Amino acid sequence: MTQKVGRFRPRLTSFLAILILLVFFFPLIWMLVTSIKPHDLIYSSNPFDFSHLTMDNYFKVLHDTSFIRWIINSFIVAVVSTFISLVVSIFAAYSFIKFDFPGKDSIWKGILICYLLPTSLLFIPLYTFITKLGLFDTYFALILVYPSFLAPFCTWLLYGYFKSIPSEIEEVALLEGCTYTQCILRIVIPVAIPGIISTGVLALTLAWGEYIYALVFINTNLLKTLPVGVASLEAGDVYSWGPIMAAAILSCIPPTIAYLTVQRFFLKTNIFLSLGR
Amino acid sequence: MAEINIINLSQRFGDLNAVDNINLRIFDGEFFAILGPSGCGKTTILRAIAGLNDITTGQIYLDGQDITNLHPRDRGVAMVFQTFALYPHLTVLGNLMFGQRMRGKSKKEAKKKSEEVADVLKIKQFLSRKPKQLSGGESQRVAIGRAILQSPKIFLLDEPLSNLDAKMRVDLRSELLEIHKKIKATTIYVTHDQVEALTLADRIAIMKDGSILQIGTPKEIFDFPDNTFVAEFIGNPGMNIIDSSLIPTRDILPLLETMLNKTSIDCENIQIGIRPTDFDITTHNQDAVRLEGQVIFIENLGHEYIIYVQVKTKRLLVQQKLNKIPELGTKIILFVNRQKIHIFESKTGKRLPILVNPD
Amino acid sequence: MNKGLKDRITLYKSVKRKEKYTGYLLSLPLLSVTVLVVIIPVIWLLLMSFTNKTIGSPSTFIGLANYFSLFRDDVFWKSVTNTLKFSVGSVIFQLLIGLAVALIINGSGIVKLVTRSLIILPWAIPGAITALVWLWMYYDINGVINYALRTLGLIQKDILWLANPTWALTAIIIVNVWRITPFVSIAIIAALQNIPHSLYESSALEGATTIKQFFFVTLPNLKSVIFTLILLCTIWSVGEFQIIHVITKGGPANATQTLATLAYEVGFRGSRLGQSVAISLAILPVVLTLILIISHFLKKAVT
Repeated sequence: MTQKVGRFRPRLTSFLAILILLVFFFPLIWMLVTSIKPHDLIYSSNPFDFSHLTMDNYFKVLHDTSFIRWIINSFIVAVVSTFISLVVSIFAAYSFIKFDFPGKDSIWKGILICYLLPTSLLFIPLYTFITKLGLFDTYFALILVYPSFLAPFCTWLLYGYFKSIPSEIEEVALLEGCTYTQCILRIVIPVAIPGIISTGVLALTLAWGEYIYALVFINTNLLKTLPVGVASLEAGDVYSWGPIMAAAILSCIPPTIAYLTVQRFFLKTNIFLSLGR
Repeated sequence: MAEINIINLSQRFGDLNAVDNINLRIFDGEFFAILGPSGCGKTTILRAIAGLNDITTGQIYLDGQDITNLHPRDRGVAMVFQTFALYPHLTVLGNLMFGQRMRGKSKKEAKKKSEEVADVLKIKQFLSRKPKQLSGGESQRVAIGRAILQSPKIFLLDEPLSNLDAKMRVDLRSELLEIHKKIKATTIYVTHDQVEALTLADRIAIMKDGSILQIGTPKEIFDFPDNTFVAEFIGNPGMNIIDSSLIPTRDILPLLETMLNKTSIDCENIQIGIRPTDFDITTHNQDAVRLEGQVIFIENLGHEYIIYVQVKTKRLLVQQKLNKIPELGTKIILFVNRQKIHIFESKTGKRLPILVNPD
Repeated sequence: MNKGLKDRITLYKSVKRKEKYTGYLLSLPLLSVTVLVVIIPVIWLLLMSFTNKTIGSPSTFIGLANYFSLFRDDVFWKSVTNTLKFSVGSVIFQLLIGLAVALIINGSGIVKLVTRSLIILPWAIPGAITALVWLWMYYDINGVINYALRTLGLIQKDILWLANPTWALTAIIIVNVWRITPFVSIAIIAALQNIPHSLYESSALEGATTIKQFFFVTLPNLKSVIFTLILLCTIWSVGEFQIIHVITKGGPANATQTLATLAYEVGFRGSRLGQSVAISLAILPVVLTLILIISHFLKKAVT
C-alpha cells in the first residue's frame, strides 16, 4: 500500500532510525567491546585499539567472583515473586472486570497510587520491618516485598488484556454446559495465556533489575542479586573494568532474550492504551 | 416439546427500562423472529431466555417449567451470537466438540457427530483450522454447528447475519431455513433486518423501546399493521402515513364514516396509511381516493420506479412500473383504491378496525 | 429430576448472590499486599519522622526536631534543588526526544521494524548494569566519551564528568534520559498506531501539510499518553536511586545528592533513621501532588 499521506520521507527516516539505534546501543556495544579487551588495552590511551582481543575476562568473572551465585539468587527471587504477583493479579484483574462491587473504583485508584510511590521512599520502613521479622539477609525479604510493585503492574496489564477478551465467549461456554469454575479454567485462562505469559515476562525483568531493596535488604555477598553484585565489583578497585564489563554483558542476556520474545505481543496489543484510566 | 412462555418480563438497567412488561408465547417448533430497531430490547429478551441477564421482574417458562432462576447450562438452550464467539484457542473441531464433551459425551462420539454436522454445514475442510483463519461466513457456520450439536430444545440467534457481507447473508439465510426445517426445533431469531424476519419467520414480534407493538405472521403484519410504527417500519419503502386533512374533506369524510361505521369523525385525529405500491397513477377510478401533488424526485429501481410526490406538507413515496416517466416539478394525480386504505388514530397511532367494507 | 432441578436453582441463586463477595474476595490478596507493603510503611514513615530512631536502639519522640534540623541543613536543601533539577531536566528531554524518536521510527520498512523491536533494550536491561558502563565511559582518564569528543575536535581538555560538580549533574541526567527515552518512545508509538489513518487522509484532503497534520491530528490524539508519561517519568526521576548511587554516589560534594540518595546516606551510612525518614517524606508530597495534578489533566483529556 503506497500512500503518500502520512509518509514523511521514508528513506531519510530509515537512515535516522539506524542512527538512533547506534546512539542508543553505543553504551551496550562499548560494554561488549570492553569485555573482550585484555587488561593493557582497556587502560591504554587509545580506547579504540582492538589489536588483540580475549575472552579472559569472562573466565575471570565466572571463576573469581560469585557471579554464578548472583544469577541463581536473582533467578529464584524473580521467579518466585513474579509467580506470586501473577496469581494475585489474575484474581484481582478478573474480579475488577467481571464483578461490580461498591468501592471498586476507589480501590483500583488507590492501588495505582500505591504502585506509583517510588521504592526509594519505602525502603527505610520496609528495612526496619524486615529486620524486625528476622528476614534480613534472606531471599524472603525480597520475595515478600517485590510483589508490592510487581502485583499492581501485572494487574494493570492483565486488566487491559482481560478486557479485550469478549464476554460472549464465556457466555457460550456457560450455555454449553460449563459451571462458572469450569468456564474460568477451560476457557478464560487458556485464552488469556499469551497475555499472562507476556505480563509474567515483563514482571520478571522488573524484578530482575530491581536495585534498592536488593541493596538494602541483603548484606552477604553470596546472597546478593545480580545488579547489586555486579555493581559491587566496581568498588574497591579490586577488579579491572574488563571483568566488570564481562559480568555486565552476561547480565544483559536474560532480559534481552525475554524482551525479544515478548515484544511482538507487547506492541501489538497496545497495552499502553490502558494508560488512559 | 419446547414451548416458551414469557410473563411480565421487565428488565431495568439503572433508570432505564430496557424491556417493559413483555408477555410472549412461542410455540413448539416455530421459527419466531423478534424484529425492531437498535436498542428496542430484543437482544435483552433473548439473553433473558438464555439466562445471561438477571431479570428485574417476570418469569420465563419452558414447557411449563419455571426456568427464570436456572443456570444457563440447565435451560436446554443454545445461542448463536452476532460476533460468532468461537473459542480462539481451539480448532474448529475443538469448538464443535467442546459442548458435547461438557455434556458428558465420549471423545469418539463427539468427534463423529461434529464431523457429520460439519459436513452438512460445508465446513468439513476447516476442521483443523483455528477461528482466526476463518472468514465471517465460515465462522458463523461453525457457531451454528456448535449450537446444533448441543441438541437444544430452543435455538436462540442474535442477529447472526449482521456481521456478514451481503452475499453471505443471502446464502446463509436460506441455509438457516433448511436447517430449521430439518431439525424442527423451536427457534427464536432476533434481527433489525425486516427482510430476514419476513422471509424466515413463522411469526414475528415487532418491538420498539422495550415494548412489543405487534405479533403476527409475516402476512398479517404486512397486510394489517397494528399501528403506524409497524406500518412505516415494514416494507421497503414503508407505508405512507398521512393526516386525513391532506385529502379533501368532501372525499374522505363520507368514506371514513362508512368504513368506521361512525357518524361523527374527528378528522384531525385520523391518519391514513397507503403502501407505495398501492397507488395508481394511470387509471381513473371514480370511487378511488384522489390525491394531488408535485413530482419532486424519481428513483429508478430497475424493475420499478419510486416517485417522490409532495402533497401539501407531506412527501409521499409511490412505487410503480412506469411506461412514461413524469417530469420533475410537474403535477401528478394519485389514485388509491378504497380497499387499500389503512386507518389509524393519530394520537396513539393505533389501527382503527374497518367495520364496513367500502363496496 | 424435579429435585435435582430444585437443587440446581438454589445453587445458581446463591452463586449470583455471592457475586459481590466474590469480587472482594478475589481482590483481597492484591489489597493486602498493597496495604502491608505500601500503606503501612508510609504510615510508619510519618510516625517515625517524629522520633530520633537509630539502627539498633529504640526510638524516642522528639517532635518536629528532625524537620527543624533538616530545614537548617544546607545539604538537605541542596538535595531538594538537585532533585528538582534532575527531574525537570530529565523529563523534558525524555519526552521531547522520546516523541521525536517515536515519530521517526514509527513507519513501515524492515529497518524501522527492527529498530522498534530493539530500542526498548536500554530500558529493559537492569539500570545498575547500564549505569556501570556509563560510569566507565565517563572516566576522566581514557574514558571513551572524552576520547571521542577530543578526537572529533569538540573539546580541548577532558571534561571531568564525575569530578566536576556541574558536569556531574549533567552526566547523570544524560544517563537517565538515555534509559527512559526508549520507554517513552514505545508508549507513544503504541498510541500513534492507534490513530485512525482516515484522520490523516481527511486532513490532507483539506489541504493540511505534514506539519499541520502533526499539530492538529497527531498531538491531540496523544494527549492522554503524554500526560501519563509525564506523570510516570517525573515520579521515576524523583525517586531515581540506582543510577546516581552507582555513578556518583551523590558526589562530588553533594552535587548530585538527591532526596533519595540522601535518605540512603543518612539512614544507612549515618544510621540516623529518624532523619532519613524525614528526608524520604519530602518526596511523598511531591509525588502525591503530581499524581493529583496529572490525573486531573488526564481526565480532562480523555473526555
